[in-house]
Amino acid sequence: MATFAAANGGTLAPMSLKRLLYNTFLFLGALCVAPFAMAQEGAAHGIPDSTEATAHSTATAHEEEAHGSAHAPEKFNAGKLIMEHIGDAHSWHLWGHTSLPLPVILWTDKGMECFSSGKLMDEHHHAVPCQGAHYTYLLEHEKIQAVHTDGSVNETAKLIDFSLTKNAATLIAACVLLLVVFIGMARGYAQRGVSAPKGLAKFLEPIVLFVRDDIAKSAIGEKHYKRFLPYLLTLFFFIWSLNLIGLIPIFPFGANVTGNIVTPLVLAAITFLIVTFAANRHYWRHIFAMPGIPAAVLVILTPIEIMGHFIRPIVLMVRLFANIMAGHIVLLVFFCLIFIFSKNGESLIGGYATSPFALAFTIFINCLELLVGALQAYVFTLLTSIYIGTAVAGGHDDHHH
Amino acid sequence: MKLEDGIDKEELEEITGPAKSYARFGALGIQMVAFLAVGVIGGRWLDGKLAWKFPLFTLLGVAFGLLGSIWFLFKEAKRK
Repeated sequence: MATFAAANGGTLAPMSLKRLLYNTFLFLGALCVAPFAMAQEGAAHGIPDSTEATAHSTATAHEEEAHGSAHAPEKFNAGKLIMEHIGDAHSWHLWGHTSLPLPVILWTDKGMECFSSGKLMDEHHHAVPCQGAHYTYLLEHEKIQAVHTDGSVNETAKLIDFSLTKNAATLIAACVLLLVVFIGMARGYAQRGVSAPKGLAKFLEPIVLFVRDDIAKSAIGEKHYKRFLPYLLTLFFFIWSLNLIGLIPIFPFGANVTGNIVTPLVLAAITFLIVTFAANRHYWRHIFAMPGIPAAVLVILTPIEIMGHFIRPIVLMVRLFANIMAGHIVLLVFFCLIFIFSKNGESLIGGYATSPFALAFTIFINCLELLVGALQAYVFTLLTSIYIGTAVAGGHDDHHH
Repeated sequence: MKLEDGIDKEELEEITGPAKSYARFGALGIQMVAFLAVGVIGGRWLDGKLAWKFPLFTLLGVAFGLLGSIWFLFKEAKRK
């Protein structure tokens, strides 16, 4: 969206709008056909796969049945499929049985270990033990475990997984993208001086101004906002770009980074540290001994206020995580409906009858998620600035939103 | 002040007004739940450790969580 609008100079000309609509319909048509092609392919080969299960089943298929014999046709399990899609992965699924292996980096108590994640899978996407320099490793539900030669888990081995997973790779790619875009923009401003922005800057300048004026300035206040602006801008564009990247279903996008608890956790932890270290004595006084409150009440209030200091970043984290993850789940649920009603390629009528509705809903939710992606980035940045605002505000005369 | 895409600043504030309220009060909902959860889980954990006959700390945790969530609701409502 960003690049599209920017390429058109921030406005959508009537011609380009027509072309956009045309392209959208083409894309929708392709999407309509794709799940069937996949289902048919799977049914024809009768190869079990976690993502395009091949047996005839409904979503109510039980987990234990899906885990049965490794080479028996698996039943379609919508819950399992969704959880696999929103989770992190050691390899990047491209299409069908093709995926891109990513580097596995392990810290073990015997030393570092580096190998390709392709070694952990056979050609049918089943986990196979991989002999490393120190231990034998097995990928169990996207978690690498050290195992004995007989397949039992090696409890004594200590390992920490530093692998460049799908999410980590996306995270780095998003950082590089943001750096390229913004350093380029900054160079443009430095060269041209104060003049009308060109290129991408035309689209991004109002957003930067919006974060500065409507989030930072209004929540932190005129006096202090400048110190925190770099962090707030980074936060906004980082979250927004990752939210948008997560909504594009094809490689090299689609990793659910902000909907994985780790990313919001780290962002909220940074916010927490900033608030803790930037807070002035007014803030701490209001926490430990709120003025104008009797001592008897303070006994109860002080623990509550201290707890509040820790809970606010947790709220920040839960909010971003839950919203983005829920969005991805809803999208996948609608998509899974096609497989459920078509009984995974067996009932063509069921599939064709469901496809248009499921697709319409998927696209509707996807559009909604575009809005949610921007909104959650805004909310995270705004709440961060409100927390910083309360921490750096002066006395009672320094009111803020 | 006119922004780049022709929306002026007052208009923009009107647009972002509801989003701002959503951000502030939406966070409050999760905050209430988080407070209660911390109170209850903390209390239960302490009771499990102490193994007293009476679940005192669970009750205290619930009271603490309730008070905390209401206190922060009150604080946010008071703020302009």
